[in-house]
Amino acid sequence: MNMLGTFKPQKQQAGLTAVLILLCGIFGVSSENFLATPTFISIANQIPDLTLVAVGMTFVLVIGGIDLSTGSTLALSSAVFGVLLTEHDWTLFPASIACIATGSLCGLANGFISIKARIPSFIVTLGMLEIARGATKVVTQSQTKYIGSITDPISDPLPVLSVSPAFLVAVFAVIAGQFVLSKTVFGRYCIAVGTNEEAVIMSGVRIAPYQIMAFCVCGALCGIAGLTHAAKLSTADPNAAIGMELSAIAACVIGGTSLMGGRGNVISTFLGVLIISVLQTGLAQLGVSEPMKQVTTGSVIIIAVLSDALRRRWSSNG
Amino acid sequence: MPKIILSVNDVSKNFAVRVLDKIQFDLRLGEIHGLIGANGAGKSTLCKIISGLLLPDSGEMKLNGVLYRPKNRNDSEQSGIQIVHQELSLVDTLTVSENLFLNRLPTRFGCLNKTSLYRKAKSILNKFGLKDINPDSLVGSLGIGQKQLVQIAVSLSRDCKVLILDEPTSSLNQRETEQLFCWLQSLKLQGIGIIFISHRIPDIKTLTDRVTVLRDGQSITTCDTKDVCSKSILSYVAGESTARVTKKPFQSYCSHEPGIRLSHLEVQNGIQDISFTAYRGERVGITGLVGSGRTQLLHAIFGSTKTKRGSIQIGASEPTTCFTHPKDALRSGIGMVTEDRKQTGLMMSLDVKTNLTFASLKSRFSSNGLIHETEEQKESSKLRKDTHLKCNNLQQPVKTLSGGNQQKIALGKWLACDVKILLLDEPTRGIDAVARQNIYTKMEDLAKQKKTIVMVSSDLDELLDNCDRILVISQGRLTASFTRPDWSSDRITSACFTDQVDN
Amino acid sequence: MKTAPLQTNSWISTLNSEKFLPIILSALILAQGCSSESPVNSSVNDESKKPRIALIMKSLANDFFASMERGARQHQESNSIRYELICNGIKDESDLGRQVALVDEMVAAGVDAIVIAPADSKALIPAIKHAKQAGVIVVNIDNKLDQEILAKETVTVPFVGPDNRKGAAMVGNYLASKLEKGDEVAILEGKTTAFNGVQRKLGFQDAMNKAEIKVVSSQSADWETNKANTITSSILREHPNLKAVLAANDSMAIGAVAAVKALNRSKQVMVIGFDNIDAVQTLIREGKVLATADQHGEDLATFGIETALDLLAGNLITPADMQTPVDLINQSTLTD
Repeated sequence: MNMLGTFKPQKQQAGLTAVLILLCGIFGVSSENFLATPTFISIANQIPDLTLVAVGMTFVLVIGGIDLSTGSTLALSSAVFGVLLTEHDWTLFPASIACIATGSLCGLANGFISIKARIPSFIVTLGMLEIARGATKVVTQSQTKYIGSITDPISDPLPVLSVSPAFLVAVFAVIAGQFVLSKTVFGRYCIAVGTNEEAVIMSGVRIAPYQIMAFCVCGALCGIAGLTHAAKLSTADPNAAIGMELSAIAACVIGGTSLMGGRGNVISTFLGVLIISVLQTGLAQLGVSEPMKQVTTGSVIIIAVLSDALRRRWSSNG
Repeated sequence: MPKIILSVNDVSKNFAVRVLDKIQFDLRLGEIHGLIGANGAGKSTLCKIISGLLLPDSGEMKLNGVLYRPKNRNDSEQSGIQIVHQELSLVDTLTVSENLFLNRLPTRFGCLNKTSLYRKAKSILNKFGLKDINPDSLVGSLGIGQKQLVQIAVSLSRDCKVLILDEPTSSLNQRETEQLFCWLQSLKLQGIGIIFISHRIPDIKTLTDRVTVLRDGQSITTCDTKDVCSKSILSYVAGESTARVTKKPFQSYCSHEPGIRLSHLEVQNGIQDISFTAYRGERVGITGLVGSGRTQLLHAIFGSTKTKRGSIQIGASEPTTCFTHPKDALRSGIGMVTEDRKQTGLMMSLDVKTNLTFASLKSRFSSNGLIHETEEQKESSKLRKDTHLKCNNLQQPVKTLSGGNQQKIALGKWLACDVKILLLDEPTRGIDAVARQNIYTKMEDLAKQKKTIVMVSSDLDELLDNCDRILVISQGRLTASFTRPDWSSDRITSACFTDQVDN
Repeated sequence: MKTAPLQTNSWISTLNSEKFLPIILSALILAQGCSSESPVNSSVNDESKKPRIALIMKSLANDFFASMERGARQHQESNSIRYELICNGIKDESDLGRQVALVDEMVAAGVDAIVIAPADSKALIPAIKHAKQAGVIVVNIDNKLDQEILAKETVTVPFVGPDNRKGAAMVGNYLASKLEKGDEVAILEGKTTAFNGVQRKLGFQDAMNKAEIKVVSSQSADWETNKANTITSSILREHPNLKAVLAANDSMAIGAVAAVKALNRSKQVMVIGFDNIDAVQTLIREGKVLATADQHGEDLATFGIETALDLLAGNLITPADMQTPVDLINQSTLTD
């Protein structure tokens, strides 16, 4: 039995970092150009979208919910962004605001409906997954919108750091997310609600606003991810980020977030994102065939979660 | 000399510290053997070793004179040792008969054979004297007492030589407890050895033939129950801390300033027209049968149950309608320790500190949404001392603590809020004598600080010892009120049953 | 006073109660069924003699099929006396089950001919066989059905469409003219199960082999922009001397362009695509994509429909394959 099921993020993060180093080691040995600065810079420029979505997903998972609509929300936000820039001649700043607002609205709708009507978030966000994707196709008229160089300020590498502003935004979101989760009343309430909703109510806390807020945060982060996604590819693609919700959930789970709620850590989630993207990049660099890529990625997810579960079990028995 | 079925010789077990130290214990054929001790004394570890869930570090056990070394639960069940835990392991959505035969459902051509199942279940229930339980009723529809009986029947329906019962009475009311005891006495005559673990000394006194007291992992004494008085059992259990658990004379701190005044409180299909005033510094006890509406009354005051009618007046303020959310109750200075600390009181997987400061987090330990960690730490250390909380550190998850210590946290949470009115629902259920005494002392402290305490309990003795006034609820109505010293246990008990006799 | 909230409560509880859920669901399903059949029914009432043709496409989210649908609708509007048109697509290109169901539904709806762009060159064959057995004329467009299996099943379906391999070779040859012998290039393949994807890859390889240019990496990016972006970045790092990326569709070309730009190699690395979607035309004008192929998607359906009409009218006795033109699109053709 799990008698001492303490969640020690430091230990877990050490484990994840070890996995990450191991992966880099393996790829470094098997591919001559892997262990080089350009590789890591390019990973840094690849990951902002997934990182932002995964941070949002962590919040929703922590309160005991799930958001399956993150991929579609990202696509809708980036579609709104792209169409406003190309067809309505908006400038970058207001279009970015509209993009983030779109994401937030989707999140708000998810939260409001699932919390107020007490419908499991799994079902509500499953509906939103379809709605937002449909809306994306309406907005873009099912056509890929080429945005061009307007978005370069977001995606172009900064002179000295050689990473893009989008990456810095993602890193900031990770740090801020962890701060909010561990140091603020909102974060504390999120963890508590995910652990024992009844006990939180009976401690004199109205939980609905906090639950809705968590969905809203997730939506807003998807909106920002839509921005970085569109900027990275200079396009708004109606088929963007299909299935990204699953990658985000995978990253959270690798990072030790519980799907039952009450347990999660944003830094660990970020390490999960890094593991997934190092794997992706490394396998592509080796030129591994598509089916083998999928098998390997799936295996690493299971091994990561399994080793964490075993470690937890051993430490509680010892 | 009666035959010994199970003997435990010099069994020791270490985790980080020594948990069991050369335990001596034996169980005779057809006896009920009480096992008593404070939480952490090693009772559950001993039971886990006997039932094969843990391996001993040293020492040996014999079953019917043969060396017995169970490696897992399956081994012990094969040998005829059955354990019934405090938490029931029945499937609520299945019927009684299905639960009885869950691991060996009779089938015919691969389909469930319902006729045979019903017949077999009926015969088992009859054999163990449970004729009034219908094998076809869903377990979820049974009362907690009946569930307990069914759970024991599940164990007995397997090969059973030794039956271990871990705190079986903690969630039963008096009548159910009596029924269980009666039944256990008859099982004893069928030649089964029963190990009965309990915190309640009266239960041990009435039921058991012999009692073994554990303290700090050692078996202190084993004696015939009829030869010892409750007081000496308590002194064995508590050891040097006996002084702390001796009863202090009751002192009243009741004032004449009203703390909370309820008028005509009513809940749909529940409590009817309840009005009373509790004064500052007063400790009001509420008793009644299970289901009489005691718990509902507290929830109605706290805003966690929807009220139909009624008003509440706090202190000298204007009367207001009832609260609609616990948040409003807390804002008016009301706190509530709930009956079920695991479900509604605590966040079991979170740490001690988080739980202690949770209710007051927003008002006391944060500004602009940011948590002040140093103050939070300081206050929780203070509360830990205040409530005599025993834990390794404040970062320990609450679920690793004993029931008594958990209850101290459930109480401490409201101390941190500095509430004016504290509602307590069965605050000492399932906790050991020392922790119980700590909670009584804390209640007295609060009364001294002119706080109002309203406490619901099934344990009449604890109300008699700790309250200024006892109110009786029967069938949702306030039927009687007794004020110290003008009361007696008999009169209060009979008041609990009044309405039922009338009807 | 009291009745009002009670009423709303009971209404909500009706909705909530599980008994009603199946009823509501089935009502929804029925409603959907009706709406999809209504155009068919109305046409029966209008003019029973006018043939009805169903156009079944792949993902309507894809520009290529969206413009195909537009082309078909325009054709129908100007030929509304000749036939009725029912257009259908699937949600994404891998939703095979839905496309098979669409074929069955169209047969059940009693259409006279089906013009189909199969999402899979093999999986659709049984459904098409059924349709033919039910007397429906089937014309295959865009993605050619597997000829071996068709022969085995003794089904003949005329194919109207471009030769993807020739088209890809054409764009590849144009690229080769800008490269030198021994240069390194990489191919981004489409879904490995799609016939046209495989054909385009072969076409690219034909062109590269002919010009003695080295293909150092060939990976599938599933037709997706973001995946193409990730894979291209990796390939670019692994092969610092890479001169060009050959993408089997324009969506992947867009992803490749972004990767090339992010690594600051726009000057060294050229990108080609396939399909000529609107977004890529801008990129060609800006010089970020060298060339793409236009297989005239909007006309493709029209060709298919015309073939079906011919077959219906009995003008074509033996159904024969028909090749549609593929054009090279580069900066100079766009400025014309």
